Amino acid sequence: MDHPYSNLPDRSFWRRSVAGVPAADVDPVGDFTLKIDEATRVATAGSCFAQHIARHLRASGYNYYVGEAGHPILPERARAENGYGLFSCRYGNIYTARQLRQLFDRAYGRFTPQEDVWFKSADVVVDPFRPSAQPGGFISETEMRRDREQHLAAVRKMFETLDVFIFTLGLTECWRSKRDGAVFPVCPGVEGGTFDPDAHEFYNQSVEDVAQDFAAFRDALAGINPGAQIILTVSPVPLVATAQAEEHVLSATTYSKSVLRVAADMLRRRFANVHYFPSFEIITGNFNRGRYYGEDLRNVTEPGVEHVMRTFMRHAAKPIGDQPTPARHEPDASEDYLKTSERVIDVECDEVALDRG
Amino acid sequence: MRKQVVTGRILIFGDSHVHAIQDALKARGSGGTSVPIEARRLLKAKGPAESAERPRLLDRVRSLFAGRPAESSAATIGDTSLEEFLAMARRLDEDDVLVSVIGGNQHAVFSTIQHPRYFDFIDPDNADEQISSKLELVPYRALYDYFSSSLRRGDGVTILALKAATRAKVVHLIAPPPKKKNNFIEHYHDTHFASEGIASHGVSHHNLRMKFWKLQNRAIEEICSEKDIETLEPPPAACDRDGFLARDFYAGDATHANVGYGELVLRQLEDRFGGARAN
Repeated sequence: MDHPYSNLPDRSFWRRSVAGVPAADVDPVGDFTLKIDEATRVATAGSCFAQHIARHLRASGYNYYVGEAGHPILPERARAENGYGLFSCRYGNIYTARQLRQLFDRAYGRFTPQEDVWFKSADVVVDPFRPSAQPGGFISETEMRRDREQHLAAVRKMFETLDVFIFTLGLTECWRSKRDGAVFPVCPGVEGGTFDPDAHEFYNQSVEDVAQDFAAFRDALAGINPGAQIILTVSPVPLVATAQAEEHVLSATTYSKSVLRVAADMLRRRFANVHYFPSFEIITGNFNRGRYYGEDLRNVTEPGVEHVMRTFMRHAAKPIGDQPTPARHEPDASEDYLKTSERVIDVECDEVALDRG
Repeated sequence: MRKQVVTGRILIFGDSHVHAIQDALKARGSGGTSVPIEARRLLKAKGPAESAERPRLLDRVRSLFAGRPAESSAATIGDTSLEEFLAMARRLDEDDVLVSVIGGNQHAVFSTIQHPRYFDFIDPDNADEQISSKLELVPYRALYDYFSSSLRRGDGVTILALKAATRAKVVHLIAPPPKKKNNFIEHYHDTHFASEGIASHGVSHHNLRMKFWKLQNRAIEEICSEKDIETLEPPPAACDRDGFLARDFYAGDATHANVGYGELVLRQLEDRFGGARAN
């Protein structure tokens, strides 16, 4: 008997595409039409997980676009230690769609937050919108502001010249200024500044908020770079802490990731130049039996990242020369778990500061 | 300045900046110091071989500007190996003084020749300095951390080895300050820079040279203070009112001081550790 499921591809069926295939071969990608080659300038931003994408793109031979590489008077290793190349510009982690939208607006002078400098001490100055960008902080407000001007100029150039922008949605929970709505990547008082309940408020984005913020960003980007393509991913990294005292962090994580995943789908369906890549599904899917998380059940292991990037390259990348495909790492049961957890990549996550001690 | 009279001897050991002191000792002649002073220069191969011994910031700058390795001269410079000097240091007594003049030129490597991608940084002593929009800002702490870690792997190891080898008081002499006059440097750049063909890039602004010198001094002072090694500033009489090396004390290259500077250092050491200078 013919029915709507009769002619669907294997990927439509759980047994054929998830339970019945080796874990390392699970490929949850639907239609994905975007292609990149070695000439495509691919820029990245987002939460911690986006650092993995940037790292693998850089090593893959494709054109990972770094618009703010730092001055070559410093060797590459020293620049990396100072946050250059972690993402395409030295903006640090961008966790929320609101933060991304405001980054764009700040870069183009459309938004000037009132609270725009934090002091840890007289000579340790922090940029509230990228608090971990400069290890040890800036030596003065003057230096911080000059570096920020330079940074935002690089951001403008990046937005205007990139071909593909990969953005990893990380969180819905954030803290914002009551005065003008500026959102911060970390709660004031954690990595600098002073928390003031009269000046700061907790803000947990809804699906509508995320979709509106990202749509506003997309429209703004299209205004200066009409050909830009966008790939959205959702970070599989759970919240390190929730600010909602009435909620469990696991529930808060489920809410946050659900909102982001739904918003990503709304955006993909709404805009032809917005694509979704299911790295979230690869890492969180039960087919891998939790092996793509480290011992802390939060950080993603290298085999998980490799699975994501292998799948990404299969669908998005045009082959270049003799470029080897990313390694396949079979997460079999005999694998030494401790050894696997040791391979967890140490990524810089500002919010870890919430749970020190 | 606190005066510490020693009845022993002063042993000086270092790299190229020792040369001016050795010349000054030679000029004074035998017995010309109030306490016995001896200056030794680290023996090493000049050229690529020296980079095999320890990390050299100069090597990086060579590649930055020239894009090729240096030619080997196969020559050696200096007179005393580190091992030989450490043996000498072990024989010193508690009332002796060991003066380190190790390293000291890294600042010049970074700031003498104009980098093709113009840059600047803000010095903590003038933390509100406005940097020209035409220059790329390099954050101070990014530079400092790099200098500090490089020094800790390089000159810092040698200085700490000296300290560990002796019962004598160990002091580290800060390198001469930079020269202010760009036209002098353009005409008398040292053979390292000339041989690499990088002089065509021009000379950096003197303020940048001063900032790098101060940055280096802070890094080396931090290393020394952790091991209770006192640092000695350059003789004030050798500096102009802006802190640069006064013209009378220029040696014939971009970075070094002359015999007159060496003489002022000797007086500084005698005044500090050896009582009145012998005539």
